[in-house]
Amino acid sequence: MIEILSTPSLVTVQDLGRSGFYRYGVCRSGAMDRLALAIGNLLLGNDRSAAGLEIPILPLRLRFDVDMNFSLAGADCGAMLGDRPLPPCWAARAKAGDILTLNTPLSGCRAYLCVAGGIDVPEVLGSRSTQLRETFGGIDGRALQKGDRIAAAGNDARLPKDGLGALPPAVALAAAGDGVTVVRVIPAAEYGDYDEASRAAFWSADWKVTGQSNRAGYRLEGPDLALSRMIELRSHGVVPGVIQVPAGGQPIIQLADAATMGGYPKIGVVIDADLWRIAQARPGDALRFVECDMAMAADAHDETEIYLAHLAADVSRQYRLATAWGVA
Amino acid sequence: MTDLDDILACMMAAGLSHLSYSDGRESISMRLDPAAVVSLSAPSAPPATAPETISTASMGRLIFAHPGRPEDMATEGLLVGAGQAVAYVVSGHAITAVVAQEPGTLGRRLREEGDIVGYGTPVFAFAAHG
Repeated sequence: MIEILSTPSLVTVQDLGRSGFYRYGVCRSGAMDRLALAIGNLLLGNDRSAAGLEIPILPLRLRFDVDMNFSLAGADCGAMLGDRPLPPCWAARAKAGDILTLNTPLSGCRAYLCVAGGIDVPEVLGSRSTQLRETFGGIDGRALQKGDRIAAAGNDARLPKDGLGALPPAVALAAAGDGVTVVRVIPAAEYGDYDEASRAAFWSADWKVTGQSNRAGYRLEGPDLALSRMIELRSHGVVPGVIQVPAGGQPIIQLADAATMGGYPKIGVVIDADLWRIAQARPGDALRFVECDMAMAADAHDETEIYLAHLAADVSRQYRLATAWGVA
Repeated sequence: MTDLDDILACMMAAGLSHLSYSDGRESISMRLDPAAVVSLSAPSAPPATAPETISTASMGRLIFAHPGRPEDMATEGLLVGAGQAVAYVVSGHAITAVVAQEPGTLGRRLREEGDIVGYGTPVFAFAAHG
């Protein structure tokens, strides 16, 4: 078991999300940075969809009651296991009594803690993710509190004694641009309804992530986006990545906990392969959009899958070598 | 790389210390360091005296800063705690740590950035405390 000694708000159990229940108004939920969760799981020999903790605000302290393999991925939070500093994107073995401290992120916004076998909570509607708005999934559908005790399902993987890490995705996967967080966007159904100046501004502006940004969506601040004609839409399905523009002209990127339907015009959709970059952008950071199409989005998806497949193979090799050399 | 693992497993099983192979176009040469053999027969035997170096426990390309923290590099004179990483070995997308096994002070570097290292390659001179 793991005992939470101190926690900020909104730490939740998340896996890769819930699919197949949109028709009942149940959103995808799941990790905001699904790539980080997958990396954390692969480092432990877990299925990449095992449940972990999403930690959006730091610091957090917890104590291991038993020896346990765990990993950290996503935001580099200068983690300490006892008095030992841990590298980013790293799996290590904790001894019973060890205290893990996650500090204010050096980079990124959300850290993920994975444990051997995944966090052992019941599946609800095919997922262990916490559905905060509907209060189910995870631990009683709520965020973690001080004193909560969390169990790991466990596995028999023998981690190399000195730990094991992954080449961070920010290094391994080329961003579409330098400096600000650049994400690829496919123009959406109402893109053509925006006036020319607004369409140009959409691609050229640095969009500031405002404080009104959370798991449901990121509200952005930048030039006003104006329609060239008034349009009225019936409510329609909305998926994570959709960029809606409410009447004020300032866009909102819908994310993991977004409502399943909406009626605002959509100017674009952030491709799935870049959603993790948004999850790691903090309030005050700037986002920039670059145009892409379905084929480029599919290539980006493949690039991510290849990275994960190579990581899984390279990690499994390190496990085998460490066992063969007696350093597991 | 899976093939190399298989060759390595065969070498260890058969007690071979050297293997060279060439098909005229490409060639590989593998050498099993005695340190690896010792570790097989005595997996957790502690060193009799304080180690004078910090060595690798895996094979790959040596780097002195983690790719996620390029500015954070262990250098000569640094005081390190037991279990602390002082360099890294990259193999594909996996990274392993070169770790101080006890508290002490880092000495000079014994290898260069980017060197290909094997199991048990000394990377830093080391003065253990106490």
